[in-house]
Amino acid sequence: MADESVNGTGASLDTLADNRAGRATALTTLTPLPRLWSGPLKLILKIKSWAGPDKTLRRLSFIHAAYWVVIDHFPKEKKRSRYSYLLFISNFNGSWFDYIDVFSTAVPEKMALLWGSSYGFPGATPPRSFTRHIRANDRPLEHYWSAYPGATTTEIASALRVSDRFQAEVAPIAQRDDVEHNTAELAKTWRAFLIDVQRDL
Amino acid sequence: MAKASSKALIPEPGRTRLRTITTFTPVPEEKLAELTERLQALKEGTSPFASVPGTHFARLAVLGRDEFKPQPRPQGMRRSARLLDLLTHAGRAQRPDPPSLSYLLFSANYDGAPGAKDDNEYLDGLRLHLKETADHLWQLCSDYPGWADRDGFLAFFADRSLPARYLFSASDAEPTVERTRNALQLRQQVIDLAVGAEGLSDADLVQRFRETFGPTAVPDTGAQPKGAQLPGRPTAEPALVDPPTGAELLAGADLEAPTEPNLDDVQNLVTSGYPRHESARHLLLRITDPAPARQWLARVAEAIPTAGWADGYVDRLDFTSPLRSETGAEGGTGSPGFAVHVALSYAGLARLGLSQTELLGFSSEFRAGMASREAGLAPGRGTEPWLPPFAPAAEPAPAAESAVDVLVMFSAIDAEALDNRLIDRPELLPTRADGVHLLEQIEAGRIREDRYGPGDSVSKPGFLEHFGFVDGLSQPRIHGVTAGRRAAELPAGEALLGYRDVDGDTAGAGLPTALARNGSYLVYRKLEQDVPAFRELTQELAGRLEGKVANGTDPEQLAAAKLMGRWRNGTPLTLSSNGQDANVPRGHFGFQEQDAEGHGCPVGAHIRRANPRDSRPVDPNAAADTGGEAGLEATLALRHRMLRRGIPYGTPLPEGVDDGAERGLLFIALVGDLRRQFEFVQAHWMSDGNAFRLGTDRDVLAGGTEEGNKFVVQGTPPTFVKPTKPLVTCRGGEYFFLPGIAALKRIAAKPSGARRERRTQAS
Repeated sequence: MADESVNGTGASLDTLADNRAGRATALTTLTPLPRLWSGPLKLILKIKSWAGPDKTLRRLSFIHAAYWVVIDHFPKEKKRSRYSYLLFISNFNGSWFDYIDVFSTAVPEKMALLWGSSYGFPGATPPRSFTRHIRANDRPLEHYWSAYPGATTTEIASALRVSDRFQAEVAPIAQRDDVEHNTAELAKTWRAFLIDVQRDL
Repeated sequence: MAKASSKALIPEPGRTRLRTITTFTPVPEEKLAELTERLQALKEGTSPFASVPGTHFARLAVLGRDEFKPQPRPQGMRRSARLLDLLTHAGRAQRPDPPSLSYLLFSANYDGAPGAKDDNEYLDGLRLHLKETADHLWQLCSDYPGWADRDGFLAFFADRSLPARYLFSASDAEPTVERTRNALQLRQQVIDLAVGAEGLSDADLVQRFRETFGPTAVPDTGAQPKGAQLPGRPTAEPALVDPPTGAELLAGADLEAPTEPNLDDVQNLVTSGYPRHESARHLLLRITDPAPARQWLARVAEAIPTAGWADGYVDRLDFTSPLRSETGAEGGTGSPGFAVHVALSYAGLARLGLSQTELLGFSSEFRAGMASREAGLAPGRGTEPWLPPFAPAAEPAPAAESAVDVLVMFSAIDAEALDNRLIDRPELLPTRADGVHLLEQIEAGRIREDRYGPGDSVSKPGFLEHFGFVDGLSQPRIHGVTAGRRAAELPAGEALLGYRDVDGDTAGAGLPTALARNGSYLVYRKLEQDVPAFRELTQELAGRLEGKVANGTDPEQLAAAKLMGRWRNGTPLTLSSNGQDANVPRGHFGFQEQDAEGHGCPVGAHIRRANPRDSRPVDPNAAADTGGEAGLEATLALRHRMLRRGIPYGTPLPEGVDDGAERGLLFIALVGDLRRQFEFVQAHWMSDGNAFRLGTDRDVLAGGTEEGNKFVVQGTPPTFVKPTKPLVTCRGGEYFFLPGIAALKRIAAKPSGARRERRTQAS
């Protein structure tokens, strides 16, 4: 029976437990590519770096931080490897499946640009084959840690906006010396502040 | 921002940038097992990286040289992917390329000091804060010098690190760890005060404010934010199973899947919610003897109305259909006055003797069964509130052990007709002699209270659920399957296996064509509704809304509507924010387009979560968020639609009464992809708020209630309320397969001798 493979007893729908810290999920893939393509791939990454972060991915707001490393030579390795390797490291919130699925749907051509030279890449669409490929390459981690495991990218952006508005609007009133006399003003400021930041609460 | 581009910028004084470090430190082969064990033991306590300031994320992975296995050749690539493969690999497969060493991979994202050119400052911090712990982590690596040797330590990592080529971060702000944590904590304090101080006088509010933020209103710094201690969600990921080979399987993406469904082979439940059927009876069965059970299934298969037969007679989901107003009694217009439909769980299919190839073709979530997925679907509750026959054993049982094998759904125009038809056709009702055991029989029926007065056409198309709302609205329009004018049309694969789906893939790919085509995955959930609790929450919210409500609007109706996103008669709040207006034109509407801030329909309202349409999770005004195509969210939302065929059970509860009786909704959804359609919506949109910029807030109706859940009614001013008990509790459910007629007959036919014998013994 295939039951060993589907006997999922865990709490989350599709994440490896080892690769999760609270709401943060880690993805680590290491895929080989012909050495010939190492140069063009580095150039692509340089251009992406120069062009700035992907706006679609920022808008979708689920990646805390992600980066790419091209490995032509593993540290301290004596023999020259047959291939170069692309290491992709990502910290994102939400479920693994959600993440890869949206990659494939929202920015397929960018996925093809980055992973197209890697062996085993099935194409960025349809999402099912792409997610299957990435999952097969996702490394189980021995250890994963997040400094703010309870928070998602979206929540952090909200918190920063709330914090900035609080410091700008509420804190100056609350910190005034005439504590006894500013009750009405502080209450009014607080209520106005809530109206301002309600979408971030 | 990219590391490379940050070099071109003049760093602002004191400004940090997010940086990364990646090191591959060789590990002698004989130390790998010890290292792995040592690192995995870190789970038991606080992570060592918690003590290293400025660390956002850190990971450690052991990469044994024998793990470097060649990538398999991908199957079923599209033409563009094949061309790319030809270009980059000359169509050749990868050859083995294991390195001669094994490695410990360490990666961290950290706050780079202003002007820092290398990782040394961070590494030195790592050294000084970890001390002996650093030795514990790395001393099994070759040539590790120990933490006490500063220069040796820095050189060790510098020699073994690799540069990041492109770094993506969530925002240009790139806040430090400390700032992030402080902001998260402050946000939580603001939420707690906003919820707790609703309606207080100025003096009381200010007192609470002082209690929260201290006399000088400087938020605490440095403390862990609330929620930071959330335990990880442990899980066992089902390993991937390669699709079975050698059978006539549903084509992959590149081979043209048909787009026009063959309705003569489709169970009519897919095309019709039977709006005329007031009564339903659901049987949950366990197969005890497959041979007679197959004979019974063969009889039932003959009686199942098909969509093709009913086409043109059965009410479609088109509110304006002239058929809707016809008298649809039996023998009248030809609309079926009685229907029977059958669906099978994975356990049921296995007991009926499907082959390995057939069974393995089903998606992993279907094979796992709903019980084993529930912890992810309803985090924090899981199957704990489940009741028999769905309740799993103490240890979640393997799919083959799950309780319910067969779901039979009878329905008729009323209870009397249902009884009569079943008396007339006793061969449809299974008995013990048919090799099945009746686990549970659930009586269900439409709630047809005409509470909106005669002549109000709005209440007629749908039916009411127990909280008093018209249900079953905004169904997706699926090509060749359901009609409707307002919704964008989705391909047949969104409801039927064997057809092209919204991703251009084939729904049910990997399954044998003869088994899958014209079938659907059926999600079945018994959702108990706590009507007194809903009324209580509605009244509390109404109290909080008082004074903020327009003249002539009933605060209680408004409160209920705010939770749902629609007035009880179905009018969307976004289109009519002050009262239920039957005359509001109910054409297409967009939440982002017409109600971005949620002042009409709250951002966390049930219908806005279930189908966010064009809603965007991020600040619509921020310049940073304007990237990408305009309709991206709306396009993505279309990937998570499902046909719903639910029906209430239990009697409606009159106002002002609490009879303690069980009542609720038998939630039924028909999909082509369980994970993308049902599980995604339940896990991400109902049981979480992140997608809507609502933090961890869950849907108050379908997301269960957890400590800390709140509901925000956006407005000027906003209103906050905290549900104290769950309004809806799942009492169990299962994933079923609703086969096409030919497939059902095939399942009911005898399996091959050897297989049958084995199955019979197994069951």
